[in-house]
Amino acid sequence: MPIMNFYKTLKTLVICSSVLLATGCVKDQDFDQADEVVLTPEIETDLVYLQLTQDNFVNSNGEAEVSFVSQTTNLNFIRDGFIQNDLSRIDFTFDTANSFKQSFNTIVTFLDEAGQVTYEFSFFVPGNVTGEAVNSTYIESIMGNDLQRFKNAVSLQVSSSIILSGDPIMGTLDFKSKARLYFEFN
Amino acid sequence: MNLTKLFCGLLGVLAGFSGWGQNIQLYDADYLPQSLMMNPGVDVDYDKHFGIPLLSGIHAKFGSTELTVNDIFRDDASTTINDRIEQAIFSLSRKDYFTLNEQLEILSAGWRNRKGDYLSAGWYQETDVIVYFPKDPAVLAYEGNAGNLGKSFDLGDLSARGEVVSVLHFGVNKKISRDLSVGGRVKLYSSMFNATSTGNEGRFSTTRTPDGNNFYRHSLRGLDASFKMSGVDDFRGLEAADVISSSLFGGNYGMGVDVGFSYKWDRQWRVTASLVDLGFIYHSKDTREISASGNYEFDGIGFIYPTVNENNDEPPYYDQLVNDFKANVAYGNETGVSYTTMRPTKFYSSLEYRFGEPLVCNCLDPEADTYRFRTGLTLFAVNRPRFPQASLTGYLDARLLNFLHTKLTYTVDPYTATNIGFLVSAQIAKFNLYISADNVLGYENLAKSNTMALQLGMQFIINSKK
Repeated sequence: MPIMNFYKTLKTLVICSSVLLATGCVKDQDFDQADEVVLTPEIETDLVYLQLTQDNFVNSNGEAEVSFVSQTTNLNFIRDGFIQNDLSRIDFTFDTANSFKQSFNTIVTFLDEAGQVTYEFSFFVPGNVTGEAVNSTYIESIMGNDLQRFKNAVSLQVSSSIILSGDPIMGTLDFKSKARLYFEFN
Repeated sequence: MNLTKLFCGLLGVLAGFSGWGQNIQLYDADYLPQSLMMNPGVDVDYDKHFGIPLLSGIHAKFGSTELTVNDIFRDDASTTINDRIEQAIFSLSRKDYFTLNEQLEILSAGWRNRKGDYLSAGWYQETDVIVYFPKDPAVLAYEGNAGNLGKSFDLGDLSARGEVVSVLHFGVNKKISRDLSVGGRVKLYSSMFNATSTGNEGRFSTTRTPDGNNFYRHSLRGLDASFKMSGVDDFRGLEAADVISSSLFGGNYGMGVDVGFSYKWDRQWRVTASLVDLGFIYHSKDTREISASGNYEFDGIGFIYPTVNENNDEPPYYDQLVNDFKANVAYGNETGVSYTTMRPTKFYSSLEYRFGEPLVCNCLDPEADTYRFRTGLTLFAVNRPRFPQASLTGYLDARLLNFLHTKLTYTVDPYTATNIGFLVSAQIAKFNLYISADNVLGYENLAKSNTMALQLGMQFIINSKK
């Protein structure tokens, strides 16, 4: 009878299912691989920006009175655990647009809590005798031992000195900066 | 716990929790008292039951809509685990979820009163967890924003809820007529633990600003996120007495009802439907809420160099930045708050056809004939924080021997296309033993399975007519 055949098939299926259930297991897995997991996010963040004009260097008579300017800010987040433990590299990018006829020397200094320099670099910002803005980019990558020194910092100082040329001091210097932080979370 | 372990935990450990309070195989299995917990209006034939404490109903269900343990941890030298994690992150969507449901019947009993109504009562404990895959936050955490400039990350992808509740219940099942049975159940919930973070909103983006002050604008817009929790905040070191105390007198209580019916269309056709856990829990004891809301835009720290004529003091740039952020993005970490959570309400409905040789031929009352085989469809849906989950199950129930009921099911659900399950229930005199499992094909290697459900129990079922 068809019904009886069906009945036997059903019984077989139930028995097979029960066996499957009893023998169920986890196969071909290697959970030790969890130790090899590395997350490597890259974070892009703005840093500081500024604009210098002739008012930062000349007095009301148009005479050069100041040739060096500097500002400092805390960057307390550098001391956070994820920066200290998991940051593997940092790239700083500085874009400048200089319409002064004069060039500049810019010094970027990282300081520790005692005001001591932990890491420092400088770059040249070219001027243009035509007065047209000159765009330039400087990239500083920090890794390895330098990175360890950088991680001791808590503040950032950006200083610029104008290289006097005899031309009238007039124009603007737009300064942008960003950082790309490379992490390795193990 | 570091970020990597958290990530592994999300992808690996949670890889696959899903489900609801009872195996779908038990719906309409009116020869088992557990079917009363899924439809209080089921057609009850027996006169008494009582479960063996802690052993009458043990249920666990795990599942995942997309990811399996094998996807991450397979022993495969051709790829690394990091490749597989990356692949998983990009293959999952915010609609994918992982859930866990566990239910343990502590006490269960039922009896027929003089009016012929079947009364049932009991106490069970339930754990229910759902975690939606937080797609955008996961991509942001895994890749960072550097490769995703211009992308608007939806922080609302963070949505999860977990709870451990203890439920005391009392139900009445009444035969309105020969064809119609209805039932209702009242439930008192005591929440042992709840953690809820749903309905979050907010977007984060980093966009290039060629004409702006700096390279980018980092925007946090429409942030409105919260994480609420109540009850036991540390399960380590809990004593048994603490568990019992917190399960009954935890201080966070709620109420709910189940309702359902079963209607015999004719001798062979039946239709049933039920709503289960239509209720809420009010949390006011041992509560905490962590929240953040607001808008913020950041393009770096703007240095202001002194002019020759105005030699200003150097401003505290960083402190100003932090204060500005705090002024725009409110952060709260409060205890003693109160909040209400809705229980995950379930809807069941079935259409059943009975056929085959009559098991009992009642010549005086042909309507009372019973058939060896039943087949039908069961529709299931459960209310979840983001959208309901649903499944459709086709089944064949057969009483193979006088003491042996079996049921085979095929379920179409969000987890797998090959979900075959079964139920076996053996009634030896008054003693009943049952076991059911879902997705039995997945048991060959659980690591490759998107879902697994198991329920078993033992109890006494007494039918004075037999």
